[in-house]
Amino acid sequence: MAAPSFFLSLLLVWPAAAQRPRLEVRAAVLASSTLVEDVLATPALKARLGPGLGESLRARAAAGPELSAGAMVPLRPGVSLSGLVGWQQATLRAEDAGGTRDLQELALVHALLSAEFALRGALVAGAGVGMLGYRSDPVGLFTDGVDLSPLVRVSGGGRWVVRGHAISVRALADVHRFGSPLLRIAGGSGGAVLRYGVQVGVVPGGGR
Amino acid sequence: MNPCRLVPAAVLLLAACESAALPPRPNADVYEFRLQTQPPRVLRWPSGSTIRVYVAGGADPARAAALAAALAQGASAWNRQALFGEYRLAATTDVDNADVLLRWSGEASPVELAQCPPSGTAAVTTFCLDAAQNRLRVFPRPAGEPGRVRMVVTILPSELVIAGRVPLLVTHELGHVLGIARHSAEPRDLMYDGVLTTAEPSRRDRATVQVLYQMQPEVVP
Repeated sequence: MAAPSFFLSLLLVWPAAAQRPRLEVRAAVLASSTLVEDVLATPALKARLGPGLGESLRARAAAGPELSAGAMVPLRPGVSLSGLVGWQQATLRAEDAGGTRDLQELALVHALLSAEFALRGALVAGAGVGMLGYRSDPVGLFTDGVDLSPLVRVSGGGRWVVRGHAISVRALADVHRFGSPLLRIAGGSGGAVLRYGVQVGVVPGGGR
Repeated sequence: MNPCRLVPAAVLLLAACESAALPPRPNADVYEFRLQTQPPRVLRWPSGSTIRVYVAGGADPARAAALAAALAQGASAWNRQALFGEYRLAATTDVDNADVLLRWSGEASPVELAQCPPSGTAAVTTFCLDAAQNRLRVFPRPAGEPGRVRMVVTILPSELVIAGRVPLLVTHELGHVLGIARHSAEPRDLMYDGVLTTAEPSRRDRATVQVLYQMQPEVVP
């Protein structure tokens, strides 16, 4: 995969080329793909129980705000490296034939090391790797906790200098794995979760 | 490093997005759980319900504590099966707010039992349908206060002499409280209609209650 070799090469050039780290703050709104899908019953069981049984049930984190903060280091012209810690607040929501109902509040906490390249004009593209964990009340899927998962994120957008500050707007997508001990006890398997959204960032004084 | 190499990474991200899944329950894992009416009907609490259980432990503190401990164990065992918050069993100290009464037989009851009396051996869950046959009758409070108890779980105190027996019986009865209105024919299941060997819901108990809570309810407590 491209990302690991990319980071390795960045880290090798960092000591020689890095400038002073600067504070970076980012805010995003992220939506999420399905966390867990339960297809409930085999066709034979559905036939036995009749039409009163729903088709499937899905749980997903509703769209929510994410805040992250950390340090950005310009490595060389057009390339920067950021280390960020982020936190997203979301509501876990179940969707089935009976409708939608909120289950519990979630916090998704991540640490991310990402690099961003200037492409052409104000356009930038970036990629990052890190770790992500869930925090929630110990009920339902979260009764015995949830696995810590690697996180991979890609982004693209624009970066501008406004009154000496670097302002960026990006579209981003990231993926992590969701799995929990209780899910495995129930015979389930872990799977991937895609998050996507729009992010605004600022590096105070980053345009000087 | 060519930034265009990020494109394959993005494609990999999207390709890897098969979500976590629970496998479909096979026919053999789900035993009959519907009320023995004609035709059989699904009894369950509305999705997302908190089912409040009041423990009437009687005058003996040791017996009261044993019943409360059994409820805590049984509620925890069943709540772990509600992966999507379908229900939550919880103890309450307010009988006026209780949906379920858990009591020793022979002890004074905080609700009137005469119109829907418990009848069973070691343990029994009692409820009665209302006139419309789609709700459960409320057990009246003795002095006519408004109440909401719709199910009564009665345990025989003599079961205390067998270590570990009361938690097992209470957990089994809580399965009935959730709406499993029948018994399993498999001895390893918690809802087996015979000598119980486990206080934990089995794979089949889990599948049965999870499917029950995805059925359209026809009788709602």
